[in-house]
Amino acid sequence: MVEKKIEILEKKLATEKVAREKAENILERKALDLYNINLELKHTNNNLKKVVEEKTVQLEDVFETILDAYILMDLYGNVLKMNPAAISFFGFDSAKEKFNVVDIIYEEDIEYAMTSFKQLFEKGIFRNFQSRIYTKSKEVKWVQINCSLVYDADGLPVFAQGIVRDITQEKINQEIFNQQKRELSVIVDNSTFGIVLTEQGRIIKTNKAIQKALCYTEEELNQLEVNDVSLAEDKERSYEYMQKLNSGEIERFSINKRYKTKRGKIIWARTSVAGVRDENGQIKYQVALIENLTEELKQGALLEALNSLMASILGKTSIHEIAWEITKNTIGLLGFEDCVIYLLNKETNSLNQIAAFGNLKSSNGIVIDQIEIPLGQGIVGAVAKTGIPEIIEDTSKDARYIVDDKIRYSEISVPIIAEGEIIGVIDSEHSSKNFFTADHLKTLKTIASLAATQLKNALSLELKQKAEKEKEQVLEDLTKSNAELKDFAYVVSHDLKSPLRSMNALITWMQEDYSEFLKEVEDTHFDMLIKKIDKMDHLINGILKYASVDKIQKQVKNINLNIIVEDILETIFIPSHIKIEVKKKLPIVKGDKFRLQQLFQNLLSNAIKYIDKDQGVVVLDCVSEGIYWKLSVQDNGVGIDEKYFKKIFKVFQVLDEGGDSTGVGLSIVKKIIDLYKGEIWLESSKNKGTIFYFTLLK
Amino acid sequence: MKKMTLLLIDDDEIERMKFKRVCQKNGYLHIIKEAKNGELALDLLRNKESLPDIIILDLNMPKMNGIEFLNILKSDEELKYIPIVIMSSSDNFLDVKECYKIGVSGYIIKPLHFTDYSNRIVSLLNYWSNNELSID
Repeated sequence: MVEKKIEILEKKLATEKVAREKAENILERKALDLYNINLELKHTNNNLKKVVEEKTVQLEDVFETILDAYILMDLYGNVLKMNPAAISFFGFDSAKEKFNVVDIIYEEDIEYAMTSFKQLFEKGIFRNFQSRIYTKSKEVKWVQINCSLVYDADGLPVFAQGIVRDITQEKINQEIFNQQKRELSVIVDNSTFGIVLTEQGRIIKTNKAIQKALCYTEEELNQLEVNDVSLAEDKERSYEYMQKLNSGEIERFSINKRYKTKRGKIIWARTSVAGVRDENGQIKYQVALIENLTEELKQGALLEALNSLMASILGKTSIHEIAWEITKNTIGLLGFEDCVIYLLNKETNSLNQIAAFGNLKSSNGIVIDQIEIPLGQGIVGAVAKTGIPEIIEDTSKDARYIVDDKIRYSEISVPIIAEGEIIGVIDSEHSSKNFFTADHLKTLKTIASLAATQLKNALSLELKQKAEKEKEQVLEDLTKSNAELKDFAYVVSHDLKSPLRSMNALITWMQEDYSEFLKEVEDTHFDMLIKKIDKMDHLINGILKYASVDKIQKQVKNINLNIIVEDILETIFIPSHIKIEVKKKLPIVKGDKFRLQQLFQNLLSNAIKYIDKDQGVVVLDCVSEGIYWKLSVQDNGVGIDEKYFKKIFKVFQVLDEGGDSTGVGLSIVKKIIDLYKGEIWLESSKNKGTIFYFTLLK
Repeated sequence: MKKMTLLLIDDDEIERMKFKRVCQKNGYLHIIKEAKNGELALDLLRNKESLPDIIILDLNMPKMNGIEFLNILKSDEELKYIPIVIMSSSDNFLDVKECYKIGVSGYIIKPLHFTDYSNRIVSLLNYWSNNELSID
């Protein structure tokens, strides 16, 4: 064990020896290295000095040529060196005069400057010091200074150097910009449009209008995304547009979409979105202009309601139906308590209720106890008279107010004017004062104008139908009276004539049977009886003829009067001493052949009948006068006294006593002329003759 | 001249008297049967004692007027062959037309004067007794 221990120790010793030798060798080598390094260092130091000197010269050049002002100062602000730019900017030259930067700092900025200096000493640098200074010429300039300390070999600060930039113009621009920004934000904040700035769907900035509309505060909105305040249903549409906007396909877009307010209310708004691009042309923000459409949509809803009102009355032709429909819809549309439509009756000059909806006075389309208002009376009457709509805020203060079924405290009354003519009034009353607004008036006016057209049409249709009905009635009456007339004619001809026939027979028989007992005188009495029977028969025939003139609607044709007259002259008896002369060719007129025959036959027979001269002349003449033909029949007969001129045209007026005239002829003539809307008159002088003139339409 | 049987239908007694007087005055021996209206005339005819050779018919009568009577008669197989002469106060063309349409042998409008009446009846009776009835 000992041997082993010795062996270990010997080995150790040997190792130590080797190590010492090695260490000695290293030491020798290192000493040499050190020497060499020392030499090298000396050499390098020389080089370095040279480089520093060179660099310094170079720096001096740079320093001189720096565009920005450069100053070098001691730690108290005394400027030691400045470049030409600095000299020209400050107006001072440190080479020629004492120049301390602290002296030129604008009073208000001194504190800030001191703080900045402090920072400079603590950190060795400060950047973006912005302050106002005075130049030598006492001009205030804005400067931006970046400053750093220069240290000596011991690391102690010796100088401060700074680069000074004149930012006066920038500052002015900034001020203008700020001003504009303030102005803009005033505009933005006070805009009635909602304005929202978003970035990738996040709300960045909002204005008051949209905050108010959505019932959120600005801070709340800034936490939200556009989707949070939008309705899911509209998202897809918005998204599509957004994609196009982001891809540059479109510059802006506008959609109507719904927003959800904080309280969960839905509002409709037109949203116009434009992109704000960054310098690379990428969309950075979106600006959305949001216009609340709820009011507009309300108008739209009103319009829609009016349209549906229109549609509901469009097919209707009865004024009552239309009026009921309008009153009913108006109440629904405007939230009125009642609504009444009055129509103006021109004959009575009063207004009649034709529809009243919503109050107790009506049910199932029937106005109970309908009132009639004279034109000009009451509020409705006044509006109907003036044509000016009225709102009565307090009926208790309006003397014109007429209490209908009960007092109502406010009233609105609008005239219904069709084609410039007042045809009625639409009116509503309300139980509370000051109920009706200008909006109500506006809408009611619209309704009134819609009503006007429809009611006018219905009215004229109703009138037309009434006229047609009347016409039908007249026709029916006429048919009936024609039938009656026929019966009458029958009665006359049979019932009146048959006793005459019997009387005639009986008288004849008496004459035959008792001739031997009758004296001559009595026999003539029988003859007179027979004559009276004949006269009676004539009269009956006359009545029949007169009655039959307008009995039935005759055919109207072109009638050649020459042929008519020729026919008559061939059939009537013309004594040989009477000459009939047709002076001119007669015209062709429109009329019924039978009536025209009756006309000429009566006039010609009449003329012939009353000729008492040895040489009788009847002259038929014709002249054109405007739209008429003036015809005349002249005779040289007995003539007619002027006092009878009117009388002769009346039926059964006979001037010659005891003659066989029935007094029917001229009345038939008059009746026919009247039927053809012509005129008949005469000139006559006793014993010389008569001229009958009459006109017929061409 | 043949002796005929005549049926005179008229509601007016004087009219019937007029007819009989004409026959009597002219010495005609015709048998004259009378009826005041259509109904009575039909009763008489349907009694079938003997049918008249000729019927003289007024149109305007109460109960059953001439036209009604005519229609009934013309639809009766046995009676429809009896010749009928209308004697009416109506000069209405429509009445005349209708009567001829149903089937009458003559239409006389009653004249106002008895003398005129007499003349017409005489010529009528002469005509009928000499011609139409010779078949008998």
